Amino acid sequence: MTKTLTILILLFSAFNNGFGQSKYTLSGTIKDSTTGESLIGVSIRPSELSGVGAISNEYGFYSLTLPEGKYTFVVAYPTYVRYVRTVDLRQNISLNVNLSSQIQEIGTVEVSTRKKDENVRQAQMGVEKIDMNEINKIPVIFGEKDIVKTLQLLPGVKSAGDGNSGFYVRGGAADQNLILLDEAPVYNASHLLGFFSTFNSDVIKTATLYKGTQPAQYGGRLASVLDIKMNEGNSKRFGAQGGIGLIASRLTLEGPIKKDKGSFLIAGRRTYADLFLLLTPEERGLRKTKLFFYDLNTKLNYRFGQKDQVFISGYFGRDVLGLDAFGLSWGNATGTVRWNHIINSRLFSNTSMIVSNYQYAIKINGDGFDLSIGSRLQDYNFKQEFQFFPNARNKITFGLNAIHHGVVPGEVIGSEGSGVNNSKLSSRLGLENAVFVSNEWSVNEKFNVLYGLRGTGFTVLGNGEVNYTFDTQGQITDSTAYAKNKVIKNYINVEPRIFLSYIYSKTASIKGGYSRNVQNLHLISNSISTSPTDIWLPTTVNVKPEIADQFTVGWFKNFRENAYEFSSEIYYKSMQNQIDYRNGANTQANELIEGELLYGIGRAYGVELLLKKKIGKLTGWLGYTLSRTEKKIDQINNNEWYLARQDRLHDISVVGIYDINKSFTLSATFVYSTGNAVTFPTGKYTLDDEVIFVYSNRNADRMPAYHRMDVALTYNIKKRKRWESSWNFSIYNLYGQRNPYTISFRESETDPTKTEAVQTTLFRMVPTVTYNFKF
Amino acid sequence: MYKILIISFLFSFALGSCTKVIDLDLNSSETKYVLKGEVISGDSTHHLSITTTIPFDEPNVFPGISDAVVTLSDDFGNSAAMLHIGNGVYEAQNFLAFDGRTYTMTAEIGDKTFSSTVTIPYVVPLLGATIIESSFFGQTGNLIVPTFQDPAQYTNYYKFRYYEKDSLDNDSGEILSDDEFSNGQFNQQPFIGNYLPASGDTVVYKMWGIAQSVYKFLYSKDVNTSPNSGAPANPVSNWSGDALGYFTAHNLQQIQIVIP
Repeated sequence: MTKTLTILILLFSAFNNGFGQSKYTLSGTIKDSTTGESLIGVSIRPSELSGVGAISNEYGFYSLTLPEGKYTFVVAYPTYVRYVRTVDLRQNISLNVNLSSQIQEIGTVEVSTRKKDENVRQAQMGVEKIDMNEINKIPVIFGEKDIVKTLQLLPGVKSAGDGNSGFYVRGGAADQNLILLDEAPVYNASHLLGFFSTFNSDVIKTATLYKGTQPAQYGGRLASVLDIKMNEGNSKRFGAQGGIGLIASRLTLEGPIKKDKGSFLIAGRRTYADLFLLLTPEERGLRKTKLFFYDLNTKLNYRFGQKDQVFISGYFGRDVLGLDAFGLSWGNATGTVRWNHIINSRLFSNTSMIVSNYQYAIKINGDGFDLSIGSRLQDYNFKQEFQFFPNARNKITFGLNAIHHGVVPGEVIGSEGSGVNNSKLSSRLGLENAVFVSNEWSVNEKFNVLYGLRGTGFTVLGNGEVNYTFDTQGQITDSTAYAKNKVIKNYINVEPRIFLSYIYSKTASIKGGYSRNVQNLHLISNSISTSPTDIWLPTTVNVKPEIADQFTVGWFKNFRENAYEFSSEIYYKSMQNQIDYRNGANTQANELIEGELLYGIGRAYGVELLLKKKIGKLTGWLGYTLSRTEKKIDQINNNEWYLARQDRLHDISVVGIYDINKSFTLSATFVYSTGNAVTFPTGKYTLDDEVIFVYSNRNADRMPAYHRMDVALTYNIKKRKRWESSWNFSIYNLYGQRNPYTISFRESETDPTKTEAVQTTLFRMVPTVTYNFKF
Repeated sequence: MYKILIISFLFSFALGSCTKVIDLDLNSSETKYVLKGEVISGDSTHHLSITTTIPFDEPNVFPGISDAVVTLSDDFGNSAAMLHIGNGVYEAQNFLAFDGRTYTMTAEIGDKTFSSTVTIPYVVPLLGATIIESSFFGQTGNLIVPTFQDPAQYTNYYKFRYYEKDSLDNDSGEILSDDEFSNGQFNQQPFIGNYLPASGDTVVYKMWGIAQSVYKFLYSKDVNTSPNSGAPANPVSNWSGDALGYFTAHNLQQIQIVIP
């Protein structure tokens, strides 16, 4: 493999020289001048040439190759002071740029506002970049700012439920989102049964969501990739920031290891709802109850010379829930080691080694009867990526990725004398390999293309135990024992992706694209939203890789000097090898779980409209999605198409942020969506003196429409020396709408001969105060 | 089950959730037959009740079907007609049932035929019970651990229920268990239901040995009707034909315990 890479590098170097003597490269790294954080997505353009330029990559590196000449380069990034420099390009030049943010120098120099027309120009479609400044201002439940909840306000992205941090993208299921934290997949990205995401917003640098349209270097999920990058830590001076909220507090410490060479960042967050339980009366028996979560994020980076930088980042989070004798704990742990190497001014390399772990355990501690039921998942992941900048019009990304998946779907451990046989369900092992190449090609001023190819292979490995094969009725047809790591089956898939944009006027473009995605890890869930006890299964002999083909077209238009951005996208997605489960399936610690699964196809289509106002005192957006999501699964609903649970025809979101003055910011959000497709009873009968409900067609009913308004007021206290602080007051569900979380059916309390429908509402108006600080 | 418990706890505790009775316009489905047949080892009288489904918003009066032709047979060639004795209930008499035998019940209603076959499991003797004192949410009570030796050579499915003698309220409800994690073990597990017996209570403790298809029906009834289920559905019936309900042939043991 190393040999191949060397050859590839040589090949690209040759390519490099082949361009002749008259071209030279300007390259370097772009950073924030106060914190030393590298800046992602900064544009570097020569003002003499239109339509060419470079964008700094995820490590702040850029490379721009131009014909020999004298150029005035403009380096621009929103909210940062524009940097202009004239360079006589007669040789390869290394130019590192430190940009200063507007906060220090506002009013004295010209600040780059987001007058960019990147959304119109780039070929990439179905992408949403989260502005971390907006996140601080948008109201959220319990005042816990959360990137996922902000994402849910964008077209094509839907919340999994009231206050829930699960999300659905373009009709995909919750498990069809790949969530990456510094390149490490996070498997159950929520806390407290879904009410909070695992991401501490204080330490996040950027978050980008691709709605199934990701470039070829990303893969592994059908619906989306949410790529989250953590801050690196201030390399200039020591600093701290934090917040004290209603249910949780946060603290982040950062500083240089060696000034301008390396830095560290460590952040923690913990809830304290359980402490209030100590105040409850003894007789309610709640004092022994445990109910909390915590997160720890750490990151270290160090620069060795001009060409090498090493990053080590880690995440550890746990949820603990204890109710007297019952306990449930779950959490993710991820670790990433990355090595950036600038091979030459046009070739950038990143090597990553990643470990991801997810596990849960249910514990029962009786008197003399201890039992633990759990499940574990562990990934070892290697990724090598090269970015090659042959000239100003192409950026080629290529590399490979290998992941070893190991899943223990269930494990039962009893104490001595518990009368329980300790048992472990046979583990599922698999090797997921991918090679990818992708090119961003700016053909001319009007025409941009992003195309690529990803080849993925999944190898089902033996586990030293018996492997079962099932027929369509869930009966065992074969049981064979395979030696550990023996290859049982290979699945090979090719995933082409292409996106084109044609800029037909200065401010408008049309785009179109096609992408195929393949998914080899599947979540087996039979609850309403995702639950920590859901089980991940890799592709096996029975479970085939899920495949999605998506076609997208769009129209993009900016108004008033790019102050307003309008985008519209239409998508059609067809999905194969979708998974559902049989009625009455036992998904907990079931050795024969694959016999409980059913397979079928799915389709999703819709229109997404988004109007954004990006500058001025009032900013925000208006989003609307019209969509349909359907499934057709063998043996479900008489093999006919039915609506997926998350099918919501209309989805509207309005976000407004108003900067009243330097101290006060007012913000409000409003959301409206059609209710979920659900199954309500169509009759009832009696059995064993109980009344039982009859169900007919799946998801033939609708929950009532959901709507809600939230508001927040942020008060920034005048900065004193280095101490910055702010108060945030927010109200979730301002007008107290009773949105149903569930509708259930029961015997009437007033007249037992009758049955009635009862709706449960989770949140009716939740006011919150949070104090944030930074120094 | 834990999931439901925990979620409902969370909601009721921290978040101040609220419930409200609402009016819903529900679809109705075609009327279906509901059959519940039961054969008990050691008994010689057995029953089948046939009723129908009714629309959701009607009062709970479930009409019985009186014109069905019902037979009960076993794998030893014995067969008996089951006769209607009122309210849709059919009865077979003088038909002694044994552990290990296989029973088939067939009902013809108009042009429809429903049939189900179940084997009575061999009895796992219920030897007695031990009592553990325990506390839950500040309440002190007693847990009952039934004493039995699970046989290693079979997969066993159990159903338990215990209630205070002569009381209508103090009832555990139905508790299901299989030996997936305790095959061949001497039972140590308290099966906890909705009733925590207090000292001095006289408790009737019942244990059934049931067939897999019956367990599947009862289990799916619990899972599919839980408010947390993503896709509620009818329990998996062991009747052939498109009927609701189930047929069980089982053994039943019962002991009486006075909590010390």
